[in-house]
Amino acid sequence: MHDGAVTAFVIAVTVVAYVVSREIFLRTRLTLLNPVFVSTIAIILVLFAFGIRGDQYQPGRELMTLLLGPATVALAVPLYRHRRLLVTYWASIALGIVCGSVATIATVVLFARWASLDRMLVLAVAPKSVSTPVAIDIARILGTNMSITAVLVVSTGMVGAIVGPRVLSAVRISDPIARGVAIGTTSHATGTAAMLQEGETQGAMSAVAMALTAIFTAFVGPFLIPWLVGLGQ
Amino acid sequence: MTSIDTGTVTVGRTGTAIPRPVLQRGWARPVFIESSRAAMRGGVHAATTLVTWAGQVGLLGAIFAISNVAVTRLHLRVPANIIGMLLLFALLCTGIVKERWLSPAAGVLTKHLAFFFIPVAVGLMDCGGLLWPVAHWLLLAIVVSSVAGMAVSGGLIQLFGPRGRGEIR
Repeated sequence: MHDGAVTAFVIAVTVVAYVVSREIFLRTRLTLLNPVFVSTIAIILVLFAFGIRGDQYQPGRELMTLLLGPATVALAVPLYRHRRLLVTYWASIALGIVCGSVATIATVVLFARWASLDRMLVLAVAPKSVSTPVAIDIARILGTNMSITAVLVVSTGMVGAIVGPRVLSAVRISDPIARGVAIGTTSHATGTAAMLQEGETQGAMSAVAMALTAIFTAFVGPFLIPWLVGLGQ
Repeated sequence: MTSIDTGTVTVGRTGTAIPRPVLQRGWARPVFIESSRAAMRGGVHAATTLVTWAGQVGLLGAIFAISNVAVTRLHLRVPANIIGMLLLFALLCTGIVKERWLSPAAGVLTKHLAFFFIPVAVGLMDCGGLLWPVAHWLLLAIVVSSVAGMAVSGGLIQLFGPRGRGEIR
């Protein structure tokens, strides 16, 4: 196939995979059928079947991610809409986000080091709790693999959405504000979707916490993560 | 005395409503004029929608571009999209940029944000070999650290924060 044709083909495959997997997810509402997860597997299988290599997907990827930056900037709009919550509960939110983020980053880095994983993988899993566009940018700054980070971020969201509410109930965290912030801090948008189903307060707090966690980790992560990875070596 | 949206004309002091088609019966306009006007209105509508969208995406793109330049010039170790997000938040709070200037484009882009992750995740086909042998360790690391983060974050807020409306379970 001609280069341009390959690019057009991979874009078409990606768009179709997204539309179909999103429809499946909206009908079933099963967290395990996360659209990004299902699409990625389906696309890789199709590319293998047609003998398309990773480097041939690259031009299409560049075209499709052109709007990722502007779309991430637009996340300021929901944060702006919830600014009242931000003003009312700023102390709780700040406490939960700062301590929760540091706890989740420290445990994942130390656990991954204890499991003697490759340094590249330790760096890739470290920003897993923040929204994907920010996590992959942190991964780029850390000099690790962005694709691995993206997959681990999506997995984290699924884990948080599935076990999060149960874990919180098990440890007797019943306050809606505490529940919302806890999930938003650890499991970004996928967790927030689960919180929106639980209640309005939880959903809104989770959305606010998710945006602020991304901001906090973006500033602190590029310094904290390499320090934790190199600690005691 | 004409109400455009209901297609009726009100006459006299009593304001009796007469349907417009009744008034127009004598000089019904040829169909092709009606349809060409409708087509023109449709075309104008499509053009304005396109310009609106281009403008809104362009505004978001300009904020991102400015942040990108700032991050590069100042050698910051911070993602440019976060700087852009903070910049837009500040612009919205100060009222320099109005929320309506950005919708519907901002809403649609954030709604389908997940689409943009897929091409990035597909890059796994080149490095999946690194991931599969240790996938169970990574999953365990994610579960352990997510539980730790939730417990710390939620626990501290429940201990020290104000009470929320209603308790869950």
